[in-house]
Amino acid sequence: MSTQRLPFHERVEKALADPVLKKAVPLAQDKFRAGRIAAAELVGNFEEWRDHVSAIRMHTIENLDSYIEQFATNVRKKGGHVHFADTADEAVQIITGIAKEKGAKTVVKSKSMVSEEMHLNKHLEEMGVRVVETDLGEYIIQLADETPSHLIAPAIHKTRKEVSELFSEVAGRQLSQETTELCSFAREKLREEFLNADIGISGCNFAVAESGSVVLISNEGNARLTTTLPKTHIVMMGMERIVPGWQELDMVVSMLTRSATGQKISVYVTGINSPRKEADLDGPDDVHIVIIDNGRSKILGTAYQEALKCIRCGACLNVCPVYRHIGGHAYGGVYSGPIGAVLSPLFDGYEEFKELPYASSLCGACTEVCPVKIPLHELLIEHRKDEVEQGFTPASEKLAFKGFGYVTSHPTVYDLAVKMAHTGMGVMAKDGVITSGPGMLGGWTDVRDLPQPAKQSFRDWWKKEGKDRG
Amino acid sequence: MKVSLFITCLADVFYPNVGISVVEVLKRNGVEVDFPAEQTCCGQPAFNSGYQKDAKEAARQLIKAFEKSEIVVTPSGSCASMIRHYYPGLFKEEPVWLEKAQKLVDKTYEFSEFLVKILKVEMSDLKLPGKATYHQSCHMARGLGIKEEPKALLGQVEGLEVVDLPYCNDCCGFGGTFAAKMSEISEKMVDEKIRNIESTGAEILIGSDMGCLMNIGGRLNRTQKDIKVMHVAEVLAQGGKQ
Amino acid sequence: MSMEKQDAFLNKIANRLGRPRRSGVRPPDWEAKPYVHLYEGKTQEDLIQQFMDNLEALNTPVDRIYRSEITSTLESVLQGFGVKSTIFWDDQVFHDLKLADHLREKGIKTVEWNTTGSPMELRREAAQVDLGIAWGDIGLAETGTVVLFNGGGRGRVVSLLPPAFLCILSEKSIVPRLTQAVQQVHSKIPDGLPSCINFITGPSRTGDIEMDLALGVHGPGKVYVILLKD
Repeated sequence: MSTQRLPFHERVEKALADPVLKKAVPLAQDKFRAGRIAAAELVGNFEEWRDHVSAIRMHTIENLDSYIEQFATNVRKKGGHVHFADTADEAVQIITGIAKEKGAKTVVKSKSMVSEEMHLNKHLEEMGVRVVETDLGEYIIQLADETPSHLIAPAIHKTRKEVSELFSEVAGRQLSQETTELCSFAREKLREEFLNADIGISGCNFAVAESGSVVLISNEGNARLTTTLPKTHIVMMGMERIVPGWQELDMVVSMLTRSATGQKISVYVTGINSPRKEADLDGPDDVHIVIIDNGRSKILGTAYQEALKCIRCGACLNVCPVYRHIGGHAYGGVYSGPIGAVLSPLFDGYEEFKELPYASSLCGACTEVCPVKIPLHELLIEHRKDEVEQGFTPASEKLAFKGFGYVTSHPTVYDLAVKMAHTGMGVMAKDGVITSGPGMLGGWTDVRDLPQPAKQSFRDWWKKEGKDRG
Repeated sequence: MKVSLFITCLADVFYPNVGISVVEVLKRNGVEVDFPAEQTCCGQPAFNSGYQKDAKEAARQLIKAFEKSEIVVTPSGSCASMIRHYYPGLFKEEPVWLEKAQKLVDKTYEFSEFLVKILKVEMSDLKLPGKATYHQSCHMARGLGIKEEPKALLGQVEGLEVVDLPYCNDCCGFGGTFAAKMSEISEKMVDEKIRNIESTGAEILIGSDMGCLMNIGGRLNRTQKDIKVMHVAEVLAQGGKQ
Repeated sequence: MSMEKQDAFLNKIANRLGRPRRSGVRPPDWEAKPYVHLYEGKTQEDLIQQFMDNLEALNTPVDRIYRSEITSTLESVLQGFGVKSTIFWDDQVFHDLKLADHLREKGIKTVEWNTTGSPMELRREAAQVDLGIAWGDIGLAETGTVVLFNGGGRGRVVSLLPPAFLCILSEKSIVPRLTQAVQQVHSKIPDGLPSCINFITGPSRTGDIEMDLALGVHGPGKVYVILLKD
């Protein structure tokens, strides 16, 4: 499911050299951060909310089989179809199968991260089905042939100039760079697509077990159009998206929107409870819900289980100082930021994503804001531990830390090492400063100076004169 | 009151003056200080890099070194946080050591935390003229929840103007081995931190963790910027001499 | 879809969780109620005020009127939004309000969302008229949200396709927050929920172009709320 093309460090270099990212990401982060903080202050007892919502998510994950069963039973009872997909391939087969059966020519899609996991658009297009992304940000990146760079603001890396160029090409005339003109062009163009589409594909923010409802949250209204106008609606649902009942839905929605954008609620929260009923004059005739595993069950019962609590709000991206500088694409996976660094190696393995757990200074900003209290930075440490144990770290590093363990557990050796540090590292120093060093030290000195170890360490000072002063 | 100093490896090797300052400040506030010589490193470099077995070796040594101490004070929010948050987990399958680890957790304090929360010091004879800003380290602020204590201490220094640092919650880009392994990202982080520090017009950058200060200071040095870097303990010690 | 596939899927989950399959689990009675302080001590009048304030902060004018004032209020909505044509629900509340008559008197084209029309024709109309009018069953004070139970004569697209949307609701139906609304939804489950429920809060919006706020990218960019004093 990875979208990476370049090796990790090249992706990072590319991102760091991008002048658009350099401006756009901090701008977006600052807006989202301020919104979240204001929303949290307005609520007052945000910590209590986090505890509560975390408990709800944990309870649900621990009883996932029961709640999925309840959800599926209720969907069927009301005439909906339920499909189960163990893998991305199975999900693609199910969806392309429905498209074929319906003779679909055009599909409109509202934002779905899970669909990115399986490059669904590519598969549908290969069978001759046109796919139109309808979330404005997703539409922009579809035209640019790119992937989302943020969970809730997929096109933050595009400038209005770029958007204007992309839209002008579709329009066949030159559009200005004004937000209103660009948006009204998108409205007009996409409206046409909505009215003519054969199938609407949506994601699923939450699935309510007690009523078999699918809940979609959007500010633009494209999720409503996607799930109302076409005759067939396909829901792509990550299997952990479930909540027990509407009471729990209230809590997760209240936290999701506040954590994501700082809104008390999004413009549209839509509960789809069944296909069109007989007396209904709109809404889809058929609703197909595809419940997707694709690597999620592997996470159950492991030290990483809490990552499945994620409600995809993006708060961890918005506070992350690493994301701030490299943006979403450098992470190389479907999910970026701290949650991406946790999930991508779980979904796709260390072979592909061994660097991601190290792309964090472990500052803990993510853990602090996560509305469902996923210990994100601790899970990154857990990954590092697993990488060490599974042999994904270089032999030289292993040896170095073995040495570290030995020296730090033998005080006399440590004492000696401290004594030798000044002279030993002195060969690299000039005027008490080291400006370039070998190995890992080189990573340090590439960017900044290192002081030469002091002539007299603290422990030596203590032995000589400190004792009497203490 | 008797306190054992856990100097931390960074301060021991690179910044002995921080330790000397801690001793001076504690002594001036009527605290007796000792320095158990068996201490080495808290093990965080290994732990954060995924080498938990090696980290455990260091941790065991540190626990042993301070076994007889009543109170342990350390001039590092990060090392204190390592002990408090991760030591019990490291020994969760060794009941005897878990108990010892928990004892160390319960008696370990970060320097500012100790002065403000335990000693409740009110120092009136400190003087250090200058304009400064304070860098809160992530592990101290988030890991230990200590944000205001260092500022409260700095507020007791006459003549020292402490200006708020914009984006003070953002990491400086140190992150232990992160600074070396991901140096290209770390560089952008520390540069942004320095831009924010410069925007305050401060001549002195004060911190509580020598890891962060080694990073920011090293970058200041490399880019030839004239901002002095000091640990809170150094400010208090120097302020007492004027 | 065979049940074997479902069972295999759920068995795999149970296996990973290291325990036998569970079925029929119900959530605990949550002790935590972190939302109560948000509305504790507020009177109905406070809630109505909060509802109105929240909407106004979202560029959504609210008029609080007696039923007898409906015609003049409609006039200001129509003028304010430059409306020449409307589509609205076929619902008893609107019949009682004589909504269609009032609109026709003003020379406005009216389309009622009802079973006498063909679905495709109604949809075409909804996509062309200037204003959609729907009834809100519940209003949420904390957020300025209106809750629409869609189905039958209460078409989904009425509040979605036209560039402007007017929601009329009774001030009696204002509740503190989402909590009370979901309780109502929950209590309807045994009798069957409508096919779709919409919680709508202000105009359609996006920030996808350089985080610059724009209204009406897909749904109505203009929203108006009439609150009936009952």
